[in-house]
Amino acid sequence: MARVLIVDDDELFIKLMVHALRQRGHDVEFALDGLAGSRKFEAGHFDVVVCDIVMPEQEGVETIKIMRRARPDVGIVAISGGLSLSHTTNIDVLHIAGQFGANTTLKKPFQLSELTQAVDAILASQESARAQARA
Amino acid sequence: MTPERQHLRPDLDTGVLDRFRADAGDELLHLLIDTFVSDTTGKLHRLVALAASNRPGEEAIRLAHSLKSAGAMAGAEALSHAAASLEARLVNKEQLSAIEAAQLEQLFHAYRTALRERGLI
Repeated sequence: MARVLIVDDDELFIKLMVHALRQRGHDVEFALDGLAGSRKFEAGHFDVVVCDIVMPEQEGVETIKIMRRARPDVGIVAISGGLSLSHTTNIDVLHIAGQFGANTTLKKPFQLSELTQAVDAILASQESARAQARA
Repeated sequence: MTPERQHLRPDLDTGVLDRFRADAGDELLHLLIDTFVSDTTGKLHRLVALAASNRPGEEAIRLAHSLKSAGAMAGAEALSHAAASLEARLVNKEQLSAIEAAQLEQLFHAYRTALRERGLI
Protein backbone atom coordinates (compact mmCIF):
# COMPACT_ATOMS: atom_id res chain seq x y z
CA MET A 1 0.00 0.00 0.00
CA ALA A 2 1.23 3.48 -0.82
CA ARG A 3 0.15 7.02 -0.06
CA VAL A 4 -1.05 8.70 -3.25
CA LEU A 5 -2.02 12.35 -3.79
CA ILE A 6 -4.19 13.20 -6.79
CA VAL A 7 -4.25 16.83 -7.99
CA ASP A 8 -6.91 17.54 -10.62
CA ASP A 9 -9.62 20.18 -10.99
CA ASP A 10 -12.01 17.80 -12.75
CA GLU A 11 -14.26 15.93 -10.33
CA LEU A 12 -14.97 13.19 -12.87
CA PHE A 13 -11.31 12.22 -13.08
CA ILE A 14 -10.83 12.67 -9.31
CA LYS A 15 -13.69 10.27 -8.51
CA LEU A 16 -12.58 7.63 -11.00
CA MET A 17 -8.90 7.74 -10.02
CA VAL A 18 -9.60 7.77 -6.27
CA HIS A 19 -11.88 4.76 -6.67
CA ALA A 20 -9.46 2.80 -8.86
CA LEU A 21 -6.44 3.44 -6.60
CA ARG A 22 -8.36 2.67 -3.38
CA GLN A 23 -9.52 -0.59 -4.97
CA ARG A 24 -5.81 -1.42 -5.31
CA GLY A 25 -5.40 -0.82 -1.56
CA HIS A 26 -3.70 2.58 -1.68
CA ASP A 27 -4.29 5.40 0.80
CA VAL A 28 -5.50 8.21 -1.48
CA GLU A 29 -6.02 11.93 -0.90
CA PHE A 30 -6.88 14.58 -3.47
CA ALA A 31 -6.81 18.32 -4.15
CA LEU A 32 -8.75 20.35 -6.72
CA ASP A 33 -6.02 22.79 -7.82
CA GLY A 34 -2.26 23.08 -7.87
CA LEU A 35 -1.97 25.37 -4.86
CA ALA A 36 -4.13 23.13 -2.66
CA GLY A 37 -2.18 20.16 -3.98
CA SER A 38 1.15 21.73 -3.02
CA ARG A 39 -0.14 22.44 0.49
CA LYS A 40 -1.35 18.85 0.94
CA PHE A 41 1.95 17.61 -0.42
CA GLU A 42 3.90 19.63 2.16
CA ALA A 43 1.66 18.43 4.98
CA GLY A 44 1.75 14.70 4.24
CA HIS A 45 4.37 12.21 3.15
CA PHE A 46 3.20 10.85 -0.22
CA ASP A 47 4.91 8.13 -2.23
CA VAL A 48 3.27 9.07 -5.53
CA VAL A 49 1.54 12.19 -6.89
CA VAL A 50 -0.84 12.09 -9.87
CA CYS A 51 -0.98 15.65 -11.22
CA ASP A 52 -3.13 17.24 -13.93
CA ILE A 53 -1.57 20.10 -15.92
CA VAL A 54 -4.27 22.63 -16.90
CA MET A 55 -5.64 23.75 -13.51
CA PRO A 56 -6.65 26.96 -11.75
CA GLU A 57 -4.58 28.74 -9.08
CA GLN A 58 -1.32 27.00 -9.94
CA GLU A 59 -0.90 24.94 -13.10
CA GLY A 60 0.52 21.45 -13.11
CA VAL A 61 4.04 21.99 -14.47
CA GLU A 62 4.74 24.57 -11.75
CA THR A 63 3.19 22.23 -9.17
CA ILE A 64 5.41 19.36 -10.34
CA LYS A 65 8.52 21.57 -10.24
CA ILE A 66 7.80 22.55 -6.63
CA MET A 67 7.14 18.96 -5.56
CA ARG A 68 10.20 17.58 -7.35
CA ARG A 69 12.42 20.22 -5.74
CA ALA A 70 11.06 19.42 -2.26
CA ARG A 71 11.14 15.62 -2.68
CA PRO A 72 13.55 14.28 -5.33
CA ASP A 73 12.42 10.71 -4.58
CA VAL A 74 8.65 11.17 -4.95
CA GLY A 75 6.97 9.43 -7.88
CA ILE A 76 5.04 11.76 -10.18
CA VAL A 77 2.51 10.83 -12.87
CA ALA A 78 1.49 13.80 -15.04
CA ILE A 79 -1.90 13.58 -16.75
CA SER A 80 -3.52 15.89 -19.31
CA GLY A 81 -5.65 16.07 -22.41
CA GLY A 82 -3.19 18.57 -23.91
CA LEU A 83 -3.99 22.16 -24.74
CA SER A 84 -5.73 22.58 -28.11
CA LEU A 85 -4.42 25.32 -30.37
CA SER A 86 -6.44 24.27 -33.42
CA HIS A 87 -8.32 21.24 -34.80
CA THR A 88 -5.02 19.49 -35.40
CA THR A 89 -2.47 21.17 -33.13
CA ASN A 90 -2.03 20.47 -29.43
CA ILE A 91 0.58 21.88 -27.07
CA ASP A 92 2.31 18.76 -25.74
CA VAL A 93 2.12 19.80 -22.10
CA LEU A 94 2.95 16.24 -21.00
CA HIS A 95 6.33 16.42 -22.72
CA ILE A 96 7.00 19.65 -20.82
CA ALA A 97 5.86 17.99 -17.57
CA GLY A 98 8.33 15.17 -18.23
CA GLN A 99 11.15 17.68 -18.66
CA PHE A 100 10.26 19.29 -15.32
CA GLY A 101 10.20 16.14 -13.23
CA ALA A 102 7.28 13.80 -14.00
CA ASN A 103 8.39 10.15 -14.04
CA THR A 104 5.50 9.06 -16.24
CA THR A 105 2.84 10.78 -18.33
CA LEU A 106 -0.67 9.69 -19.32
CA LYS A 107 -2.79 11.40 -21.94
CA LYS A 108 -6.47 11.84 -21.10
CA PRO A 109 -8.58 9.90 -21.76
CA PHE A 110 -6.82 6.82 -20.40
CA GLN A 111 -7.92 3.47 -19.04
CA LEU A 112 -7.85 3.26 -15.24
CA SER A 113 -5.64 0.15 -15.47
CA GLU A 114 -3.03 2.33 -17.22
CA LEU A 115 -3.02 4.60 -14.18
CA THR A 116 -2.77 1.79 -11.63
CA GLN A 117 0.01 0.14 -13.67
CA ALA A 118 1.91 3.44 -13.84
CA VAL A 119 1.64 3.85 -10.05
CA ASP A 120 2.68 0.20 -9.49
CA ALA A 121 5.71 0.65 -11.77
CA ILE A 122 6.85 3.75 -9.86
CA LEU A 123 6.44 1.98 -6.51
CA ALA A 124 8.44 -1.00 -7.79
CA SER A 125 11.18 1.36 -8.96
CA GLN A 126 11.23 3.14 -5.58
CA GLU A 127 11.47 -0.21 -3.77
CA SER A 128 14.31 -1.29 -6.03
CA ALA A 129 16.19 1.98 -5.33
CA ARG A 130 15.73 1.45 -1.58
CA ALA A 131 16.99 -2.13 -1.83
CA GLN A 132 20.08 -0.96 -3.73
CA ALA A 133 20.72 1.72 -1.12
CA ARG A 134 20.56 -0.90 1.66
CA ALA A 135 22.92 -3.30 -0.15
CA MET B 1 -28.80 17.85 -37.51
CA THR B 2 -26.39 18.85 -34.75
CA PRO B 3 -23.34 20.84 -35.89
CA GLU B 4 -20.88 18.04 -35.21
CA ARG B 5 -22.87 15.45 -37.17
CA GLN B 6 -21.70 17.39 -40.19
CA HIS B 7 -18.23 16.07 -39.26
CA LEU B 8 -19.56 12.51 -38.76
CA ARG B 9 -18.78 12.48 -35.04
CA PRO B 10 -21.17 10.24 -33.10
CA ASP B 11 -23.00 11.78 -30.15
CA LEU B 12 -22.15 8.62 -28.18
CA ASP B 13 -19.22 6.34 -28.98
CA THR B 14 -20.36 3.09 -27.39
CA GLY B 15 -16.94 1.54 -28.06
CA VAL B 16 -15.41 3.93 -25.50
CA LEU B 17 -17.89 2.80 -22.85
CA ASP B 18 -17.45 -0.87 -23.76
CA ARG B 19 -13.68 -0.60 -23.36
CA PHE B 20 -14.06 1.27 -20.07
CA ARG B 21 -16.44 -1.41 -18.75
CA ALA B 22 -14.05 -4.20 -19.80
CA ASP B 23 -11.18 -2.41 -18.03
CA ALA B 24 -12.85 -1.10 -14.88
CA GLY B 25 -16.17 -2.94 -14.45
CA ASP B 26 -19.85 -2.01 -14.20
CA GLU B 27 -19.67 -0.08 -10.94
CA LEU B 28 -17.09 2.38 -12.24
CA LEU B 29 -18.87 2.65 -15.60
CA HIS B 30 -21.97 3.90 -13.79
CA LEU B 31 -19.85 6.26 -11.70
CA LEU B 32 -18.33 7.59 -14.95
CA ILE B 33 -21.68 8.16 -16.64
CA ASP B 34 -23.52 9.57 -13.61
CA THR B 35 -20.69 11.94 -12.69
CA PHE B 36 -20.13 13.10 -16.26
CA VAL B 37 -23.83 13.83 -16.80
CA SER B 38 -24.12 15.69 -13.51
CA ASP B 39 -20.86 17.70 -13.88
CA THR B 40 -21.44 18.58 -17.51
CA THR B 41 -24.85 20.06 -16.81
CA GLY B 42 -23.23 22.55 -14.42
CA LYS B 43 -20.26 23.29 -16.69
CA LEU B 44 -22.52 24.07 -19.66
CA HIS B 45 -24.73 26.36 -17.58
CA ARG B 46 -21.60 28.22 -16.52
CA LEU B 47 -20.38 28.44 -20.12
CA VAL B 48 -23.71 29.90 -21.22
CA ALA B 49 -23.47 32.48 -18.43
CA LEU B 50 -19.89 33.37 -19.45
CA ALA B 51 -20.99 33.76 -23.09
CA ALA B 52 -23.68 36.21 -21.95
CA SER B 53 -21.13 38.18 -19.93
CA ASN B 54 -18.89 38.76 -22.98
CA ARG B 55 -15.84 38.17 -20.76
CA PRO B 56 -15.18 34.42 -20.94
CA GLY B 57 -11.47 34.59 -20.00
CA GLU B 58 -9.46 31.76 -18.44
CA GLU B 59 -12.50 30.12 -16.85
CA ALA B 60 -14.08 29.47 -20.26
CA ILE B 61 -10.83 27.93 -21.53
CA ARG B 62 -10.70 25.63 -18.50
CA LEU B 63 -14.36 24.64 -18.96
CA ALA B 64 -13.83 23.85 -22.65
CA HIS B 65 -10.64 21.95 -21.79
CA SER B 66 -12.46 19.94 -19.14
CA LEU B 67 -15.41 19.16 -21.44
CA LYS B 68 -12.92 17.96 -24.06
CA SER B 69 -11.14 15.49 -21.74
CA ALA B 70 -14.13 14.36 -19.68
CA GLY B 71 -16.26 14.02 -22.83
CA ALA B 72 -13.61 11.81 -24.44
CA MET B 73 -13.49 9.67 -21.28
CA ALA B 74 -17.30 9.26 -21.29
CA GLY B 75 -17.69 8.57 -25.01
CA ALA B 76 -19.35 11.93 -25.76
CA GLU B 77 -17.36 12.21 -28.95
CA ALA B 78 -19.19 15.03 -30.71
CA LEU B 79 -19.26 17.13 -27.54
CA SER B 80 -15.58 16.45 -26.83
CA HIS B 81 -14.59 17.39 -30.37
CA ALA B 82 -16.65 20.59 -30.30
CA ALA B 83 -15.17 21.50 -26.90
CA ALA B 84 -11.64 21.01 -28.28
CA SER B 85 -12.45 23.37 -31.15
CA LEU B 86 -13.86 25.90 -28.72
CA GLU B 87 -10.79 25.59 -26.47
CA ALA B 88 -8.54 26.30 -29.45
CA ARG B 89 -10.53 29.38 -30.45
CA LEU B 90 -10.54 30.73 -26.90
CA VAL B 91 -6.79 30.13 -26.52
CA ASN B 92 -6.40 32.15 -29.73
CA LYS B 93 -8.29 35.01 -28.07
CA GLU B 94 -11.54 34.57 -30.02
CA GLN B 95 -14.83 35.36 -28.34
CA LEU B 96 -17.22 32.79 -26.88
CA SER B 97 -20.59 33.25 -28.57
CA ALA B 98 -23.95 32.35 -27.07
CA ILE B 99 -24.61 30.24 -30.16
CA GLU B 100 -21.49 28.12 -29.55
CA ALA B 101 -22.47 27.53 -25.93
CA ALA B 102 -25.97 26.56 -27.05
CA GLN B 103 -24.51 24.16 -29.63
CA LEU B 104 -22.54 22.40 -26.90
CA GLU B 105 -25.74 22.05 -24.86
CA GLN B 106 -27.43 20.58 -27.94
CA LEU B 107 -24.65 18.00 -28.33
CA PHE B 108 -24.90 17.11 -24.65
CA HIS B 109 -28.67 16.65 -25.00
CA ALA B 110 -28.08 14.28 -27.95
CA TYR B 111 -25.52 12.35 -25.87
CA ARG B 112 -27.99 11.91 -22.99
CA THR B 113 -30.69 10.80 -25.43
CA ALA B 114 -28.30 8.15 -26.83
CA LEU B 115 -27.48 6.96 -23.30
CA ARG B 116 -31.21 6.74 -22.48
CA GLU B 117 -31.94 4.78 -25.66
CA ARG B 118 -29.34 2.21 -24.56
CA GLY B 119 -30.66 2.01 -20.99
CA LEU B 120 -27.46 3.52 -19.56
CA ILE B 121 -29.28 6.27 -17.64
